[in-house]
Amino acid sequence: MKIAAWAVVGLTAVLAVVLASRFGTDPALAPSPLIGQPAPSVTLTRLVGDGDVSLADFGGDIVVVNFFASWCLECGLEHEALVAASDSFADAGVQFVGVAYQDDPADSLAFLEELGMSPATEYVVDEGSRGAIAFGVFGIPETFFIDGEGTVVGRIIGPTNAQTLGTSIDAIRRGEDPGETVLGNTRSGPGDS
Amino acid sequence: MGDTATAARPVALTRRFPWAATSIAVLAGALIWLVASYDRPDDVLADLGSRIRCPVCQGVPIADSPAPMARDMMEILRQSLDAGATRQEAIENVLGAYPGSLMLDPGLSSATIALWLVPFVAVVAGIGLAQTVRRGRSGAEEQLERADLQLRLEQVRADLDGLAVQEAGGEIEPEAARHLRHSYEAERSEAEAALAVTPARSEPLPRSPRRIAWGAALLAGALVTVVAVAGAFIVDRPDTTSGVAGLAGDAGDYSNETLAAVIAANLDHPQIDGMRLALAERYFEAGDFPAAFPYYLDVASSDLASDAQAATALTRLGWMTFAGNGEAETALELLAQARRLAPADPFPHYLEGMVEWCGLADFEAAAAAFSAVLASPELEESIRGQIESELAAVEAGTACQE
Repeated sequence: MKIAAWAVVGLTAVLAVVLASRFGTDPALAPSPLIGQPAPSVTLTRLVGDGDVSLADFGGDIVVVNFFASWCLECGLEHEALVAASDSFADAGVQFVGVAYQDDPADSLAFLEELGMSPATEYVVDEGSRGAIAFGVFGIPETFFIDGEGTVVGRIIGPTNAQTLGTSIDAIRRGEDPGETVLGNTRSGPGDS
Repeated sequence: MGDTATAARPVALTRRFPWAATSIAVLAGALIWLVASYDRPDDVLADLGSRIRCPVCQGVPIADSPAPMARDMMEILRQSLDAGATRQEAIENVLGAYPGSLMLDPGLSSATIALWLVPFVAVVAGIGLAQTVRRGRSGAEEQLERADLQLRLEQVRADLDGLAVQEAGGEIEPEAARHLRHSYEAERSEAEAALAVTPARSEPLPRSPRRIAWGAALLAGALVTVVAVAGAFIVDRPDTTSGVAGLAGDAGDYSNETLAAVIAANLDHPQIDGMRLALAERYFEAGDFPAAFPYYLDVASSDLASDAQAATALTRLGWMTFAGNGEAETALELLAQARRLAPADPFPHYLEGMVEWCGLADFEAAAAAFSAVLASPELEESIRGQIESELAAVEAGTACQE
């Protein structure tokens, strides 16, 4: 009887280790398969201004793609840093693209008008979540870095800051990959609190 | 006659060509299988949608999720299938950029093998546990039976002894005594035979409170193990930092653009003036006065800047005002402000002397400034000789060469 009891405890412990180990592999935090791969060829409609924007249009530049929405609290927290970084890197071959994710364009515009927008950033609408699905977005804010060769080399999960944005871009300019960084919580949709 | 011949033909054919019947049966079976397994586009869409987990939901397939992301994924699946994509290609179009597996029926791999093995292990463990419990229970029953037999045997022995006493005392008729003895002896033999086939156990019957304590301890141990192990694997998401903490001292590792971005995004941060000064110094040393100027100006007018920081900014502003724009009077005002904020620092005073000499040709004021600088205990010895030479030139009435 004692042997059986110990066997149950042992089995429980093994199961606990095996199943609990999956806590460390939250899919939202797992490495993106896009890292090291060519950036998705996505064409999205401008939120500010007319026409479409294709990531392929920025060939040779470092491209920073940020997914945001007006309903996302964390997006408001990081916005100032994105504007500042876009402005300061505007003449340094770095293009910022702000992708409004699952958001009414009018709300996105109001968000930008309230918190400010960088004249150097392309703000676009993610119709049908095509951009988010192409980049494997679980929640926002998420930010991706594409080097001058068009390869995805970095990703920030959660609200970013100017230091992380700047040092990531500095790394790319030195020929290094900034890799993936988790900086905080993300929101999966308008009802996610 | 003709009808009879027609009716007989199939029988004759199948008898003569048995392989033909077999082939027809196989072909018919294949046709039925093909028709049954034909993927109608709507069925494929529903099937794929029910197998893909919605990435923004909790274990819900995209076909059943009301989330906009799930609906958008279903639409991409539909368009992919309409365009002739295979099932795998359609899945790839939706999940290609997502890490891990978002399939609700994950395949067998090193990461998922535990999921597949757990049910089998649980069944085997359950059977084993049930067996052990059953064995334990039957052992306890045997012990109870043996104790009962022992009791019966002792009782019948006592009865025989009592009977012997009664016979000896003439308290019982010999015939009745003979019947009773016979009956008692038969009962004793039966009990002894039964005891002989009931195995004796060396272990005493388990005591219930002890078993309960053991069970509770084991359960507690299992729970503690689960909590401890689970806790060790839980991933904490870090808090977002402001982006400036710790950077001021390492500004040398960052590009001018990064410093500019951090400054612009953290205007109210208490350490921001250190960063402004660091970036301004870079521009100043590179001779880019227009780029340096606004950062020095911000530090000089900042309420958060220390006196030393403000003095440095005013000193640089004073010199740039003179060297860049030739405005000697304004430069002297700025340098005087710097000297008031950092009276021990001889550098603003030295620059005042330079402006007096080179900008205003005021030899007397320049000589006084240089003399005061040379008397300062804070003056670096490496530049003492240079200033002594300049003082000598001023005292000799030599014009500034800059």
